[in-house]
Amino acid sequence: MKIRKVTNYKAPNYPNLTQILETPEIMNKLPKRWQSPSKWMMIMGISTLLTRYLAAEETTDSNFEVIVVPSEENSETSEKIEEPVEPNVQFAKILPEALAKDGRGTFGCVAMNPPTFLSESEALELIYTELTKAGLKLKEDVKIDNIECPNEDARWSRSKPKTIVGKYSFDYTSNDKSIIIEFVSLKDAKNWKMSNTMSSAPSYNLPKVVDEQMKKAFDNYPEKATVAFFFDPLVKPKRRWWGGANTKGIDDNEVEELINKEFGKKREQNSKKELIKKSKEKLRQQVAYFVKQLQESEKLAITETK
Amino acid sequence: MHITLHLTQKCNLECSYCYRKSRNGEMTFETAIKAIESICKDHDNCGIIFFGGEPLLKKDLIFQIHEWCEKSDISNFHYKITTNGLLLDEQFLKESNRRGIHIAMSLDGIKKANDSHRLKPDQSGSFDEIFPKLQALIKHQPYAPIMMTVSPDTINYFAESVQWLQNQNVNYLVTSMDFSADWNVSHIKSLKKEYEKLAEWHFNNYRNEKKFYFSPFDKRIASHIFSERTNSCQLGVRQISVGSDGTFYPCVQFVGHDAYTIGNIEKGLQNKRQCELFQMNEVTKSECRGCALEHRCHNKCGCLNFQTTGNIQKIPAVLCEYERMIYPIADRLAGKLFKLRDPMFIQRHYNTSFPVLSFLEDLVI
Repeated sequence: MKIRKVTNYKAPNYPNLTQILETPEIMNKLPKRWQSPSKWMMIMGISTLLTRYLAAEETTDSNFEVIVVPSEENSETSEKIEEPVEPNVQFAKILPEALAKDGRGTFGCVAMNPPTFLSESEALELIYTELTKAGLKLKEDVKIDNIECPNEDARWSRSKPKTIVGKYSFDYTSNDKSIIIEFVSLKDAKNWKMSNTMSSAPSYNLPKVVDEQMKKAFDNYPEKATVAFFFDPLVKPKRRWWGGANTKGIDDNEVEELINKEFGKKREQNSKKELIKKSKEKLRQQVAYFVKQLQESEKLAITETK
Repeated sequence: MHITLHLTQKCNLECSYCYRKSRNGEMTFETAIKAIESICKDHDNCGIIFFGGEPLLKKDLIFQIHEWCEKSDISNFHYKITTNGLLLDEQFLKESNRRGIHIAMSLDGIKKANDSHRLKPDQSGSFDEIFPKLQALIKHQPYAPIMMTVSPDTINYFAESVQWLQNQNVNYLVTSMDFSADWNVSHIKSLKKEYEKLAEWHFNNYRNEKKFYFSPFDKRIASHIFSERTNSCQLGVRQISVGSDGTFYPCVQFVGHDAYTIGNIEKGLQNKRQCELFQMNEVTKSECRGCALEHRCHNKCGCLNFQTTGNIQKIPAVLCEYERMIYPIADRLAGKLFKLRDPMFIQRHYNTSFPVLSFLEDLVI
């Protein structure tokens, strides 16, 4: 028996998860016994209730909403459509390219491909420059009331509420506070208790922090506002640092030495400056996408740039 | 994060392929709690696995630890026991269900296969005693994982054993090969024939909408579908084993091997050593670099490498032969099912809510 590389392997003829998203209608294929509408509705109903119940328990949200699944007999009544109420707060859309790939990574000694992060000051300087260039007048570090803030006391407790209503300091606002800007850094992710710590290597998913936690901050906000969350793109080096390590015929101790050598070398190669430059470019794109949204909704006049 | 507590090194079976280094040693309640506090304090969710030897020799300790964890604020806990099943009884099963403790049981299939290696201290087979325990377990926990080990001399019973287990209403089967045994090319060829039979059988499971999980195929199919996920065991990071004396190890096979300790209950986790072992395990082996299956196969299972070659970085040739044999069979099976747009295949593998929906289906229908 031998260890032998497979050089010619026919690509599997079934899609991976990313590919299946291109044809989402395939997901409509249901096992026969799920096809009975009443059973399916019952499953979905319980599933929704269960999810709501668990979510409510997690956040100790007292506004527990009971969802009544309409039965087949009285489904006609469910056709009554209520007038949509425009919410007070509108969240800026996140740049699709950024949402698909950026803002994710794992740090720490056991991280396999640690990304580079921007300091808050680097990021805020860029955001300020780009927005003022577009014609927005900004105030710095503004405290806003009626925000669902992370509850520091709940860090190690399961019984205490994870958030409390209070004042939270946002990075920038427009003069009238109708536009609120926040840059989501790793520190913010930690503050909002969304880091997924795996041993000594904390993992981050910043778009998830925005979607699942930070937007909730405005649940009880009484004023009209447009809120933009920009996040650190967390650009990763192209190669895993051990990519070129040749370990053939060496023992465990020598491998340790090799790791140190390779680690050092690869980090040097993936010049940090280059990665920061790339991070800034990606953040600039996020800001430009937001400016476009403000201009399209006529919340910001289009300024001519030379 | 999972923490495996080796409650005792003693066992009421003497399986021929057992890798336990020591046969003595009992964990105390205090040791278990110190270990849990030390490892779980930084994790929102922590799985406690009661392991041995045979953990059911320490039933009271299991419940004591469970009660402590339920009262504790340091993490959200979930629980699992890995047992040979001999000491399972109605009362324990009911109590486990009440407490939300999941049970996984080892059994090698039909009597001929099981009794080849899973022996009692008098060297007689354990099947006759275990069979009624299997029935009781499945009655109380229908999705209890059954763990089957296949050795070179039981290959010819493999397909028969798997199908027999399904007939006993088992729904979740995890199989492992005893790679530490003496394997040769003809064993792999025989195994291939068994897998081909099983591929046809599993195809029919999907077509008949049976929710049977068969790890050798379903896990490998998932390795393509979730291609961005690492297939590495993340040695010493995802799971930490705690020996009876409170020493920490990166996985169950290392317990008792001093060269692989990563801390203890007094000093906590030695992050540096943990990192070293993790990194050693993650280095791409030169013999695998450029292989089309490099990121899907189990070449980075440091525990398996250690158990078979004595070195976490040295891959056993039998693993390579095995992986090269099984991946095409699993991929062909999945390709065939996808071509037919098989509903059960699509829901199980692409719908991330499938476990919840499946659970609710069992509840409602």
